[in-house]
Amino acid sequence: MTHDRLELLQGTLEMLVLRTLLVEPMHGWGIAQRIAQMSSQVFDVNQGSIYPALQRMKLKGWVRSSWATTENGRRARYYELTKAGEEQLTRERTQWERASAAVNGILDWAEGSA
Amino acid sequence: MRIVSEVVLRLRSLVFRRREEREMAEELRFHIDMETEKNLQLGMTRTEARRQALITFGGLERIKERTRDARGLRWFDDLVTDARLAVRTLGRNRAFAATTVLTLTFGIGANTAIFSVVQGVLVRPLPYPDADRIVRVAAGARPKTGLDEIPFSRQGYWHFADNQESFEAFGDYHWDDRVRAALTDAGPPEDIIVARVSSSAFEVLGIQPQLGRLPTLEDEELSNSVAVISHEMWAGRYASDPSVIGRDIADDWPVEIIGVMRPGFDFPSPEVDVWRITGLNSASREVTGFQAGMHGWSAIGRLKPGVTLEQATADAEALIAGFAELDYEPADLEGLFDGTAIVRPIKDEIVGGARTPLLIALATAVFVLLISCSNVANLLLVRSESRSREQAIRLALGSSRGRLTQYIMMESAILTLAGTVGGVALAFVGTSILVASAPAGMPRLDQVGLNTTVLLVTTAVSIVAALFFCLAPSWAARSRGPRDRLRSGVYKSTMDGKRSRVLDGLVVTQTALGLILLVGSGLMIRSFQQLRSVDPGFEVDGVLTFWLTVSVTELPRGPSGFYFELLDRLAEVPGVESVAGTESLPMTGVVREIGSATLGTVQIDEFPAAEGELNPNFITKRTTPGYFETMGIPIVEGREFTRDDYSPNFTETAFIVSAAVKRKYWPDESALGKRLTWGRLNGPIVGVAGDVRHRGLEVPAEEIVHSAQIIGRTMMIAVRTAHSPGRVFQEVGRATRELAPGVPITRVRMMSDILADSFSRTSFTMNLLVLAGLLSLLLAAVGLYGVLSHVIHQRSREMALRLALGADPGRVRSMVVLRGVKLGLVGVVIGLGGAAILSRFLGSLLFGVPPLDMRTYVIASVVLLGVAVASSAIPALRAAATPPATALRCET
Repeated sequence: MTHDRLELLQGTLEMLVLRTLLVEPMHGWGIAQRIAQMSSQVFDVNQGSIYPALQRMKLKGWVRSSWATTENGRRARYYELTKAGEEQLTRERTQWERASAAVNGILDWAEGSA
Repeated sequence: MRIVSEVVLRLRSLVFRRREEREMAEELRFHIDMETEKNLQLGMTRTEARRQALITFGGLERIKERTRDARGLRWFDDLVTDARLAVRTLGRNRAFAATTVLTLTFGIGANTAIFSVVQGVLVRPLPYPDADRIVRVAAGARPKTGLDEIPFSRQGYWHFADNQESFEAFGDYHWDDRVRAALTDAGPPEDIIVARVSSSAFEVLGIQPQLGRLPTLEDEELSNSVAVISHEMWAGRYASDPSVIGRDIADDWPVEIIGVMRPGFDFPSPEVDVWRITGLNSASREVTGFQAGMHGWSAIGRLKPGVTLEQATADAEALIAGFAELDYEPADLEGLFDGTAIVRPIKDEIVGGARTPLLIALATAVFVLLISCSNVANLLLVRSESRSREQAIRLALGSSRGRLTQYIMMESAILTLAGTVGGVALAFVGTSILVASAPAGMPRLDQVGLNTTVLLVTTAVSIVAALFFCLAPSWAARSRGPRDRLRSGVYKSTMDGKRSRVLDGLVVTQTALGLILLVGSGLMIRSFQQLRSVDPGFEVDGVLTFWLTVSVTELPRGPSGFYFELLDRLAEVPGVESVAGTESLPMTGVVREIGSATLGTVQIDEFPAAEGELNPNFITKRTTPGYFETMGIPIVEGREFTRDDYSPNFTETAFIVSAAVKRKYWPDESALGKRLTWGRLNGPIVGVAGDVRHRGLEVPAEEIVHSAQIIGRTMMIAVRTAHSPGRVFQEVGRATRELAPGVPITRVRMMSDILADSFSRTSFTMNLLVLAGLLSLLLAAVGLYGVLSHVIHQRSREMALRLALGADPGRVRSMVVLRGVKLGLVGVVIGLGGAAILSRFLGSLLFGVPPLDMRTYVIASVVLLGVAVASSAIPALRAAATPPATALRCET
């Protein structure tokens, strides 16, 4: 399985982060692990690009952050989804599904008529 | 709303930058540690675990950058970085920074100050409605009278007023600042200046009083004793009490106050305290015998709409021609009037004398501005040249062109900001200094203030110019890629031709302008010296003067009795060497009476005026005994006045004439004993005094006749003392007040100050031009030095090669100096041409020096060339002193 850089899907990175946080608040590393896990390791390189994305989302009010202690007793910054973030997730998901359906439609059609 | 809170959050993260950095570092460190942990668990070694963790993470520094970008305000960050860098860089190039900032400061400050003064004095309209339609009217005078114009006589004025067609309002007025009254009731004696202005003259002006009313035609026809007082007098003497209307001015002055003027009303002069009617418009128009010859009234008129100055002048001339039908003596008509009329806008009258010095000041400021601007342009061009390599490297390393431009703009912004702050400060200070040091008698100064419009305009212009000069070079070079500029060394040892020509052009311009200023200051210095070297005819130093205004009721023993006693008492004051009085001291204006054949000024019995001719027009002065001794005027022949000469009846007196009179009328014989007649007085000449320049140093000695008379008017007292004037004056004042408690003492000044005032126009202009000349010399030197240093730097490798190959260092040096001298020479030649053309505008300010004075031009050229040689020599010497090896080693 090729390991794609997360960056390649810059537009969708934020959506994936939001989805991850929908489950529970998480720190940055945890989010990266979860995304790698949930995508079956497709997206697991260049994890660092999460941080600029998280920063942007924080400014837009989709997530908020706070410092807390992990179970191992280390300090980490946890991110939590906000109401606005939830709504954003729903919006982006709808867009994504519409877009991918459209793209699929074209690809299938092209094959179909071949 | 979202955007606002986003911006606020970004600003917050800028403010708490350090904390954010710390937290970000901690967060990322946590991430890497966790990943490293994970890798350790997967069985990697510690080093491998960490390395893999970093790889998986991605470029750490880059992530940090991107996070920072996402967090803060990138452009603001850049701004701050640029600003810091710019300040550091400018700190290393102090000469450049200082010159640019000083240029901007001077450009904005000095120009705003001078513009403000010019605006306030020359440009600002007079405070009357449609003030440019108001003109003053007078008749032209024959040169023989020694006057510029003839004021109106009664019949002349009536003739004009009845028959004129060009004016919608026409009125008469009269004032003489020697006509003063003394008010003694409330507090210390006050000196009041009274002007006579008719109701029709007020109509011409079109103003309204602040309180009450102005005199009306009815007041004049009935000859009412009414007056309008000035705002200052109302606030001072009457404490702004509105019930003053209807009261008399003072108990012993039964003139009813009918109005109070607005503050700042200054017709015919800002010093006037009381306006009364002229008496020319009373119901009866009789003219008694001796009144027929009196020409004492001035007139102003408001032009009808559509009437031009030329038409009004022609109209007036026709009316003057009509004087022949009036009750004039033919001798008067022939001898006084030359048939022309003088019709001039009153603004010209008021500000005319100030025009030349102010406009020259303006031109000077503009010149210096141009010089300093070309200096800055020079330095900036040179600087952008030396910066081009560094910029090429930056571009090659990935910086965007926009970013580079941003940095350049930051540099110019800092310089401009510093320059603007300095400029505004200089504008404030400069305006005050200009007002304080303006030539004596410059009109309308009280209303001059810093003109904010001018400040804004000059600031804007300077900023735009600075930006232009900063950006123009990089814009011009934008087509060349970095590769060109990275190529260094011998191949590109000189600048391209165009840029070199621009630099040369700027240096030449600077030099030319500088020469013009130097010539100007040289001419003014010489004028000043010439003026100061003129012998005024009296001893200037150590003479204290003041004016006394005594009302006739104060003089029970008559004016002579009073003044004799006063002089006696003052002579006893310790420190007083001698004391005397006169009705006009030198340089304080002239009492000239227009003589007609019947009334006459002074007639010489031996040479009566021929039929149809006028009496000679002498300056007449009534003086007390001791006048010549006090003033230090030598008696060439005969004697001073003694008390016996002052007869109590008004028919006999004695005269002392100035040497000019003797030379003209009795060149080969003694003037003593010759008899003169003045009105009803007759008497012999008892002495001849040395010539005195009465009206000013630049006017040749005049014909003066002193008479042994004392009348109850304002007297100017002169006290000669070798001691400290302040202390002596205290004693003198006390002695005077003892004798006459109600007499105001005014205009206390040293004679030397009065003299200095008389040529203050010259000294003011001279100071300005000398300052500007020195400044321009300095700037020219700096400019030339800067350009040549740069040229040498550019060519240092080439020159080092030459030296290494055995060239004579002297030749290398002279190459450079030659270039500087050539530029200087071209500038000087152009400057000489310019100076020759422009120096005639100094016009009336020059004295004893022609505008094309050879000596001045030569000296100025030599000085400037000397500076050019010196500024070229220094960089040349430095260049030749560099060991060739060093020069070859360092890259351009």
